Amino acid sequence: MNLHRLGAVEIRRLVVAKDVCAHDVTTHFLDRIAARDGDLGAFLSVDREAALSGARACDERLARGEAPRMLEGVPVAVKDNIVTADLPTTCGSRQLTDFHAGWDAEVVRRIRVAGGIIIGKTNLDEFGMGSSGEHSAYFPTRNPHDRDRVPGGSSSGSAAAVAARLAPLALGTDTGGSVRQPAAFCGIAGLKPTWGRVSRNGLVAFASSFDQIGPMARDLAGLLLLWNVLLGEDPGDATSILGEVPAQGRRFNPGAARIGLVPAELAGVDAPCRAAVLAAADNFTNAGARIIEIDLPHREHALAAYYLLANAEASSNLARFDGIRYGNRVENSTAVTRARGFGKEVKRRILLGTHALKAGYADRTYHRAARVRAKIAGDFANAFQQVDFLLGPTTPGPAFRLGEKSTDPAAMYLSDALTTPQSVAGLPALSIPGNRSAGGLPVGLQLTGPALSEPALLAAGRFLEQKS
Amino acid sequence: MIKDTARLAGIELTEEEALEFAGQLGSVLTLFAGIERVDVEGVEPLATPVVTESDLRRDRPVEGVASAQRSFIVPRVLKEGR
Repeated sequence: MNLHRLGAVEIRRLVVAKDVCAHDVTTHFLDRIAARDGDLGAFLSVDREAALSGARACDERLARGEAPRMLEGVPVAVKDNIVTADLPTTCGSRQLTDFHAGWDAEVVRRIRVAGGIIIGKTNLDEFGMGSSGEHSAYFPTRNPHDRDRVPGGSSSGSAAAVAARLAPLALGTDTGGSVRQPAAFCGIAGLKPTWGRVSRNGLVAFASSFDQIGPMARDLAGLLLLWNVLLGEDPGDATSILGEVPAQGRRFNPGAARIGLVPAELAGVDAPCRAAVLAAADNFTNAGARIIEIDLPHREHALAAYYLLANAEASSNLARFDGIRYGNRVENSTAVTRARGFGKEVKRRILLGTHALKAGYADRTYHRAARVRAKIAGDFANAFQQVDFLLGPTTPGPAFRLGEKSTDPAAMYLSDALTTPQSVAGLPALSIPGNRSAGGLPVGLQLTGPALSEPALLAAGRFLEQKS
Repeated sequence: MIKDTARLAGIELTEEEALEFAGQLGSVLTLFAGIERVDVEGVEPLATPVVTESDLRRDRPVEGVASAQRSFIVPRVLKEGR
């Protein structure tokens, strides 16, 4: 049976019906990873025995007649900046070549409790810093649709693994677009949740006021399945949102929907991205939705606010990698330890963040950016008085070629222009595949909603998926 | 200036790196200079994007870890031979 062709919901259904055992499912995906990941570079570590023993436990439970769980027997790939008890956690960095955390992040714990099988840890731009997957200290990940192109980043391995059908589901992390942009480049779906909706306990911090863990899947049904396992309050994360979780998986009523388009956003992107958005807008209007033009006056400053604030936070968060608290140590010098352990992009960002916090500069950089952040959040709040959600492109263009932007940080950062505004405002945003480019490359559509609107975004995403 | 920043960041740079990073950070800061035009008069800075109630949570004492011979007993995290 071509199990890899099936979505996560279908795999679970077959396991629960005992039409296929979890052990066979896990073996199938492990064999695919062994056979196909060599030239893709999606995985950093796989523990075959641990995964198979998890799968056997699922089969034994079902054989005993225990109630099936939400992810029973479904393999999930985990980005390697999320700690796991069994597998190492390298963050794609030389600093942590042999780091074993010894415990499971809250999201990993939830996946295991729900019967999911952690099939391996996926490659990433070092510490989540990058938009191409080329900044892993180990090897770059390639785009499954075109091996000469990048898969996007920083959740490069998770996106490539799902797109190449090496895992039905994956966890990514999104600080300024790191779930959405690789999802768009690889032609899959990815959700950046509202900041605080998913526990960050066990995520190695890059920029704490931006970081969120999000699900990645080939279809919206799979995304919703994993989302329902991840979300919710965690006492282990002081920034986790408390209280009742709104009902998930609601229906989308296009006839009552008000959808915002930002003309300035469409003007600045490549033709295939613009065409995909306009086609999706047509699908909404044909079903009775109203499209309303929205101006986000401070949108153009989101990239600057993001890079100044996030890297200021990174310069502080990454201070712990000094060879004493964490990190591979060079004797007698933390500065040399850090010089040898960090890759170029991480050094650049720590330097930028340190500059943004320097006395004499901080007023013009960090403190100003924090005020601009408030203006951007205000723009979104105004927009959501008029519309239910915003529709736009996830990226300015389809996946670029390996090496095309790796020596020009400013050009690389500009590729995040459409995903950083939501991160700055802490809002949920969903990337789903839209119509492909003439050359067959995937293009992402981005739906952005007000805080905690994930159920509505997922329902609208499913509507578009059914129309495509 | 880049060397002073690197000193504060605790990262030793080679001369070559200092030159390279100085140029790149210059371009990036030029790209970001637009935020100096934004009118932020009277705007409160936004530190965390979604207001959480974390600072209002009550302390809840829970049972501590076991102890013996003036040491805490914790689960084993290292494998044999590590």
